[in-house]
Amino acid sequence: MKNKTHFGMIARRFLKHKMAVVCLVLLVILIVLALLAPVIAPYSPTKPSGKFSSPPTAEHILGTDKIGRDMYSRILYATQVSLEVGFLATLISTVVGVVLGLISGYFGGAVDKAIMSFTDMVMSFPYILLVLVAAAIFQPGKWSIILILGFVDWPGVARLVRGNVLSLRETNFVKSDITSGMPRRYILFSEILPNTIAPVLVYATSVFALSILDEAALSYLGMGVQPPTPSLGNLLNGAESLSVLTGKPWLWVPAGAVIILLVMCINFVGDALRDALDPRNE
Amino acid sequence: MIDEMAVLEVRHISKDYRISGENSLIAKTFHAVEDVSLSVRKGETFGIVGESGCGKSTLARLMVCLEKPTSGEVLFQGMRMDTMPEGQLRRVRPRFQMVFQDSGSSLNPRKRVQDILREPMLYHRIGNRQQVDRRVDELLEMVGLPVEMKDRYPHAFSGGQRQRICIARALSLNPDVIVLDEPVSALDVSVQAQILNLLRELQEKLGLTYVFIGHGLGAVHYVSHRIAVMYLGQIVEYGSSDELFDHPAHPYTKALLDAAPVAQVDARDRIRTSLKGEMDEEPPRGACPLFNRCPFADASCEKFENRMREIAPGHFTVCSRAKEG
Repeated sequence: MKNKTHFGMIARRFLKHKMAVVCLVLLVILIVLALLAPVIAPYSPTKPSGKFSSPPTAEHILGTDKIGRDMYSRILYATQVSLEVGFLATLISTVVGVVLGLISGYFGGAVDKAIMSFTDMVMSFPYILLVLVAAAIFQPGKWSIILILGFVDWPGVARLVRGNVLSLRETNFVKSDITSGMPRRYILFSEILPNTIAPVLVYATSVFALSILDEAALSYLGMGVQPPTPSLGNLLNGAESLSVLTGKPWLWVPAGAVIILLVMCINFVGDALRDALDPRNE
Repeated sequence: MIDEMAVLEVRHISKDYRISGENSLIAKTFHAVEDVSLSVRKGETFGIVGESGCGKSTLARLMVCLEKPTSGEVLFQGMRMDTMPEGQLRRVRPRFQMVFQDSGSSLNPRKRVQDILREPMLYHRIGNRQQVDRRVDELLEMVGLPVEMKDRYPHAFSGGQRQRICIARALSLNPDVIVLDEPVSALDVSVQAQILNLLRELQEKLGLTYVFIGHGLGAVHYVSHRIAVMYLGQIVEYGSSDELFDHPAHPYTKALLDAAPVAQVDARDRIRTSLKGEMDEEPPRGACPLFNRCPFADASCEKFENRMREIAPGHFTVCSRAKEG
């Protein structure tokens, strides 16, 4: 184990989790397919290209929807949109949460109290209601759902980071930095922040999975991504009626399967990351 | 206690902590350190002993300005440290360093040993990149660690090795004084001896001044030139290491010495001084802090004055009943 880089050690510990490796491969395949949607999709996702509600055929391998659009193309684009919403919402909430958590934990006092009260307030908002209100005020769509999900998810990150900073501030290595006369920016960004990245990354994977589920739920309710733009949620929305559920499974089974696969894979990868990033697991 | 040769000095220093109850209506004050004065001379090792909770670690943190005293003064080479503005203090700080008891949390788990040692030196411009890298190797050699281990992470080291890294870090900024807060208490006995010998060697080679805090009397006696005994936040006795061990004057020191196990068969039947009760028993108002527990206490101890009395040259105690000469 001599001269192993930090990254090498993490990779080696990650590879011990067989399930997570399988999930990571699946996840990468899904992401690549979604990103390459404009190249590999055989038809336009928004324009009719065949018979209405046709079951899978050679031309339309996953069938067509009720106005004749190719389901395979729509799922590719929908996965792209859902991943984008999930990723950007996670990015926003993580950045906001890390910044507020760092400030709150390191400076303490009145600043800490103010930030934490605000955090508790946001946490107690029922987000479905928030989305309904926001949708009523703004145009519902991809960007408003990204911003809303980003706004409701940061408090968890902020609390996690704050707790970490509070315990790191008391460690002897931070005390040693103080007695060595190191500046505050060094203590914050070189000592404390790198030690909070691992738990934040793990937490972010679960926020990512949750954001995808939330997007699906909101779009299913018609409050999220708006048709004709496809998303995994509003594809399911097309399967509301009992006749579709029982008689035309190609309209909802693939979309549902993609959601389950995405969320499950992200969660498994997150669990393995948690173990891999902990340097004590040597 | 004004001392010409003092490098590090504290004068009438106190530190109070407020303990607020659950509903914070009743706020109690806890005196962790109470009116302590001492001066540490250049090149010596000044030992501080006392049982856990007596305030010795708080005193250590006050001495390196990790905490501000409630009252009193901290002086480093005659400079007032406790009131110094943060920016100025940061430039003086490298000259008095600290080594902690728990070496596990003393090193950032995400940094290689060489980065841990290098970064403070680069910040304080001890030299350029190459000079600093060379100095990292020198420091590791000095504390007896193989130089090849510098690109490992702290978890790859044993407790004793980690403590060596901490000592190397403390040395890296060329300090005058190192405050060692129970540096060997968490280590195996065999490793303790190695670290203590290393500390003595380094002191001779570099002319360092140590403040050595411990509860293991053997270790403190072994390294210290002078020793102070603390009880309930106050110093009750101090003097040269041998004098204190051969002629303890304060009943608390006697009890502390007699409580230590001795590796001699005929020592089993020696007469022991032992204390009654527990440390948290509060003595009557105005009485000696040890009043309840002291086997020698009499009516004269009910009026206690916290003043040091010299009972032999360089040997001081607060106990009014200690015999002179």
